[in-house]
Amino acid sequence: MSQFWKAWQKRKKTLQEKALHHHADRSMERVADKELSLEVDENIIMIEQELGRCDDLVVRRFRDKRGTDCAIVFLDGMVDRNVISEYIISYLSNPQIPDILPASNELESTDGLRQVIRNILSGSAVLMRDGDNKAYLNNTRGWDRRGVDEPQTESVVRGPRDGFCETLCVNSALVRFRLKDPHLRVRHMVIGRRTQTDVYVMYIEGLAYPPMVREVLARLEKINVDSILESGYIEQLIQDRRWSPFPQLQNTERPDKVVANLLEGKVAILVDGTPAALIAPAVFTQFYQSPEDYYERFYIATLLRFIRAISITIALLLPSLYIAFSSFHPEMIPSRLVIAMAAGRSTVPFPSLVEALIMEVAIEILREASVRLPGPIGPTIGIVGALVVGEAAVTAGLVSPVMVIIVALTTIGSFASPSYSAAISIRMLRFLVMLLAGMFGLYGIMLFLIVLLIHLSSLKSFGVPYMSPFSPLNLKGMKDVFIRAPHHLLRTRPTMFHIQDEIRMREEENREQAGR
Amino acid sequence: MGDQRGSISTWQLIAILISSIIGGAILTLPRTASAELQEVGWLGPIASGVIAFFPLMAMVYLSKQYPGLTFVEYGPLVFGGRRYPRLGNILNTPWMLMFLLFQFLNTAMVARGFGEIIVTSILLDTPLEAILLTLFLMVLYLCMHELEVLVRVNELLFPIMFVPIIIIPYVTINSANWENLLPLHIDSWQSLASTAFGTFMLYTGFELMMIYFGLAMPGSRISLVAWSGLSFTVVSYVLTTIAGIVVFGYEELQHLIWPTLEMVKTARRTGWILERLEAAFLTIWMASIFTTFGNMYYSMVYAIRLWLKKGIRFQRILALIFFIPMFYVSLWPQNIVEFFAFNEKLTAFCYLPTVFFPILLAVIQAIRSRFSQQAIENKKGGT
Repeated sequence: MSQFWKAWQKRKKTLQEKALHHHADRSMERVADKELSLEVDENIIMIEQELGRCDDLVVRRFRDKRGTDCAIVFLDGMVDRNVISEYIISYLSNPQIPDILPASNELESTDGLRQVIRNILSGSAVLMRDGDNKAYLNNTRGWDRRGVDEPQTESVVRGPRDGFCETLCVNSALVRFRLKDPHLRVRHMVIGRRTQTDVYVMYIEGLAYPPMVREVLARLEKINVDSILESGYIEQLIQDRRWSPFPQLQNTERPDKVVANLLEGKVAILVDGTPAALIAPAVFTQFYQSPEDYYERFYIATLLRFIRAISITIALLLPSLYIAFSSFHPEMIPSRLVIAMAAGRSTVPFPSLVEALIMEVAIEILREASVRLPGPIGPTIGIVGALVVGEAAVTAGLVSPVMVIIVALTTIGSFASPSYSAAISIRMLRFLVMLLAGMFGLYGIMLFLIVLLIHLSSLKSFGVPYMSPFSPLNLKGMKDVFIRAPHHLLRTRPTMFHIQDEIRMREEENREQAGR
Repeated sequence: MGDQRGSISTWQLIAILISSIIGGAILTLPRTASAELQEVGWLGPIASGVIAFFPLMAMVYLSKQYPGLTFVEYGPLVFGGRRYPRLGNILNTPWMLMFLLFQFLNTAMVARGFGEIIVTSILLDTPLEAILLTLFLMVLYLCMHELEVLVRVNELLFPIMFVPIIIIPYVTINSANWENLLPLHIDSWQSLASTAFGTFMLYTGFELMMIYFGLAMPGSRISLVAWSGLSFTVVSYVLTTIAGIVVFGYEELQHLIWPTLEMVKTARRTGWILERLEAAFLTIWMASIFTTFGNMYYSMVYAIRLWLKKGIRFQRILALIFFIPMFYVSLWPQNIVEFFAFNEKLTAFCYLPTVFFPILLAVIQAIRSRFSQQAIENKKGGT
């Protein structure tokens, strides 16, 4: 036994060492950090050696007004060509302009090869001159990008229509433009050994709980993967419980949502190359809260929250309740309905569990197919699938009409949740409840709910309990959970995120306003 | 990993106390309370509540004397004082073992009672073992987590405790025959006493406060917890008993195994969304039985963990180990008659660890503190 223990320990140690070794193996660090030489040609050879055979690497040689040999190196397609020809090449060769540096808005100089390579790869144009061992890095980034568009997944009736796009600087500008707070802090990080993805961590100093910010930054620093292609990579790498089906970070494409969350003392993570921003920490209430709740009057906002909560419950439980009632507790259904249901089910050859599973799987297939299909065909599939197949299945006696209603309600219910990633966890768990209901009826459903409750109570997102403010009970926080209290009552920020500055609205000034 | 001391708020303590006490026993309550007292059966829960009051106050006193300590730690201190810790440990150990044994047996019986109800009323074809197994698996999953999870689960499930107060009177009011409560007259005080002692098992679960008071947040109002928890429980028990007597009358009650469930069955109206409520009621009530059962099982394991000063991994393994004998014991009674007989024996035993033990500790502590005060005063006088 002890031998086994020792062997295990040894293995653990070697694995740890391997991980450490791995950590040092960042592809950028493999580039030799040589100093640049005085000769332009030599430098170009060094760069070409490091980048290997890259046919999109453009080297433009020219002679400036003093007669010095110069060269500009950049990657084709990643730069704005106008900037290079007008503000670098013609600017420098024009004898009427005395300047010897290009007129670009962002100019740095370096003498290290590694930084030169890094900047070329991220879209800078590098200017080098004979007799100067410095390289000048011009920010000429300008590739074709998608413009600011309305977000596809989180549309609102009232509220701003702009959503994040794939470019990090545009996204951070969208946040800045709404939040002109000098205390907004933006921390830049580069994650991904090979992709070298830029990541911004945003928070408001004085609102966000400093240990939480530190925790977010520390977890981001610990990430060591070769690629970050989407913020989902980061979300899954920094979440607290990796085996949980629930999202422990919120993601959104809406800048107004990010700003609102920053103002509640949360931390936002923006990732280059994706419109989905992450918000930490996340709590359970994200399942049914939408930014629109704060734009509309509070009565309708509260009502909508209730509707969403009901629709999530339906999405999770309705098929399993059908199974439990029809196969275990038919006495509970009102007698007229039970007769109607029995008549509908009389031709169905399967037990209700199988019937429900068939229909739920079918609707999931339809949903998946309509996501993949090109725009114009998508709705057709929906109509063909839902109407024709559903109707035909009932006529053929394969499923009962009640089942079709239930499946339709379930599917629509799962779309009512404002957060897509939260809704998919519900969609997934639905199948588990159905199986349990098929085994134990209502008892099975309750079994599932209690286990779910235990799991949710044990979840934490960056130190904030997932079920807050229900538990630990926070009566102040309850004002903005099920009901959305009117703005003049939401004077303080929710305290469950360890907010530093609680006051959101100053009472006296608003009284004056009202008095006028 | 710490053992998360000082993290339970007053509100959470109330939730734990009430959820630990109220459980499956409410389903048989109207019958057991009115067996001897007949139409004044509702006095039974009040009288046994009075019995539970004394040990609960003793616990409050002890927790105020030793703030931040559970009975696992203050037991030896009370018995041996700070000077003789070993003597205290030796004297405390048999009590500790008795407490654990009682928790073990009581937990097994709560589970069995729950399984019996499910099997006899809603899942008629399901074997008892399947119900017990799933219940145990659920509690095992709970035991894999730290204490704060238990506390939060209790807090989240607490609204279910209002079911007997609100739903039961509401559904029964239409079939009520108020004359069943008359005459308001106690025939024999002896039968009141024996009912009080016999139905005392209704209140077990409060002894867990010997642990949770010690883990309360500094500054939480422990005596408020004890008062409100106990009065809430008494009120819901009395209401349930009255409802049972009013609907059935005490003679008929004696022939019903689960009178509270029968009461819900009488409430049937066409035109309601659900025509009959007993399966729904039992399903919801299952959560309350789960908290009773889960709290007892968790506390038993947690007390041993505190006693041996171990970590969460020990707790997980211990919970797994206890699973097997617990399953065995819960299947001891061969049928429901034996089950009720076993419960009666357990009631007799429960007085030692739940009533006598805390009162004994409190008395010793009171004497000890008086002596030490005297010693301090003597010293003051001397100087």
